[in-house]
Order: sequence, then structure tokens, then C-alpha cells
Amino acid sequence: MKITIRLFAQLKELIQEQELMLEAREPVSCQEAALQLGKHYPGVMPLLQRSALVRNGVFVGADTLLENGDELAFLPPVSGG
Amino acid sequence: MPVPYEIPKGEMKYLTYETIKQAEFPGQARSSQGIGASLSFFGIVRDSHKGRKVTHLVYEAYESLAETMIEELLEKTGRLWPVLEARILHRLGTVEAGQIAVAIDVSSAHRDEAYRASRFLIDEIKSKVPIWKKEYFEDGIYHWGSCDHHARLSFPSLHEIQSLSSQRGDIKIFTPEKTGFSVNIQIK
Repeated sequence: MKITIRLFAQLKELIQEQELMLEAREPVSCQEAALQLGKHYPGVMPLLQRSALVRNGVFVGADTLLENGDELAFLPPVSGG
Repeated sequence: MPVPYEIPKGEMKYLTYETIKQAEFPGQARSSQGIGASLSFFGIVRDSHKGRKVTHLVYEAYESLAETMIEELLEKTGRLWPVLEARILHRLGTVEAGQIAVAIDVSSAHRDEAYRASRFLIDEIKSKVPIWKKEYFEDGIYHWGSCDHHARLSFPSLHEIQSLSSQRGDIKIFTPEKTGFSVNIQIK
């Protein structure tokens, strides 16, 4: 399965990408996707742990399973207004 | 299978890259039906932060989700209080010190619900909507804004992860450009 990872704000800045692709042979949970990001990009984990997860525009929990074609966005703590 | 979110068609309703002019907000004449109170709130970029001079902010957003959430926020406000009209406009991009970053207008029969709704809307925008700001100082240094509320914990997140290591060896992460494709050219 293949999914798109969307990054915003501090995460986008740290990783220097606004979009990444994740490919896996077995099903992947949001938590696993985050762990992989942490493995690829050292130093990102503390911020990921404080980020909200949005799958296809819907807030989800860490154990939500991803499906092929999904878009998973990581939202750092917001600061609008 | 989750229902895919709908990207708002046409222009954004609640987000704008254009300057918000106080005299032109909310922009449409209030209906005279039953309105006894009208309240406008303007969030302005303050020119200092803990003693340091701020020159400007730069806002970014997860635009489609922010639009959806602001729409839901307005609906929720209407369910909580008898608000007759409400309008929200939030800047994206560069906003100079002294300029309006967010504008909220609420009209109702009485002032009580207008004050409550207006306060609720700005508090919710600041704590829940996916908008982020970078605050730039005079010397060019910047920092990312942080929300004073701890509402982030009201969304499920990863902070409960017990183990930070992954055992999976089948997962690959790459940038979209690097997928590429290989072209085999055979010269006969």
C-alpha cells in the first residue's frame, strides 16, 4: 500500500518537505507511520508526539489503520488567531 | 472507509491572503431582522513580544480542513447561542505589525449572546483550527507561535506512544519527486 504524508508548519520546516510518500507491504497504523518518520528524520519525534493526526481530513487516533491511497497529515500544535 | 473531506469549491470563505480592512468588514449590510447587538473583534499583530520588537507574522494553514472546521465552529456557535449572524475572516501569508490577522463579527438580539459567541469563536480558532504563525523580530530571527491553551491534548495524538522504535522493515518513506521512473532506451 502507498499513502501520502502531509506536513505543516514546524514539521514541514524540520523535514524540509511538505509531502512524502510511504510504501509498505503490510498494513500500517498512524503510529507506525509516525515511528517511520522519526526513524528517517532524527529529532522529529518530540514534535510528532505533540502533533494531531488527520486521515483524509478527519481527526483519528494513533492506532487507526491506513489504507492504500490515504492521505495522513501531521498537525503540530496550532497557533492561529 | 472514511468519507473524503470536500475541498471548498471556488474561493475560500474564511481564509484570505488579502489585507483585511476594518472599515470593510464584515462587508455585507446587517439584516435588520431582530438584531439588537452587533460586536466586531479584530485580532491585530502586536508590535512586540516579551520586550522584543515584532515586525510581522507569517500565517499558514491546512486550508481545506481549516475552512471545514471554521464552518462547523459557526454552526456550533449557532446551536449554543441565539446568534443571528456571524462572520469570520482569518489572514494567511504575511501580516505586518499593526495589521488585522483575524476578524470576527457577531450579531444577535441581545448583547449577552454576542459577547459570549464572539469570545467562544476566537478561543476556538486559537486552540483548534489548523492555522500556524511564525513571529518575526527586528533582527530577522523568528519563532513559531504556541497556543496558550492545552486544547491540543483534546485531539488524539501520539503522546501516548510507549515505545519509540519500529520493528518494521517493509516500510519505505520517500519524497514524491524521487519515485521517478526508469526509461530503458534500446539503441538498435
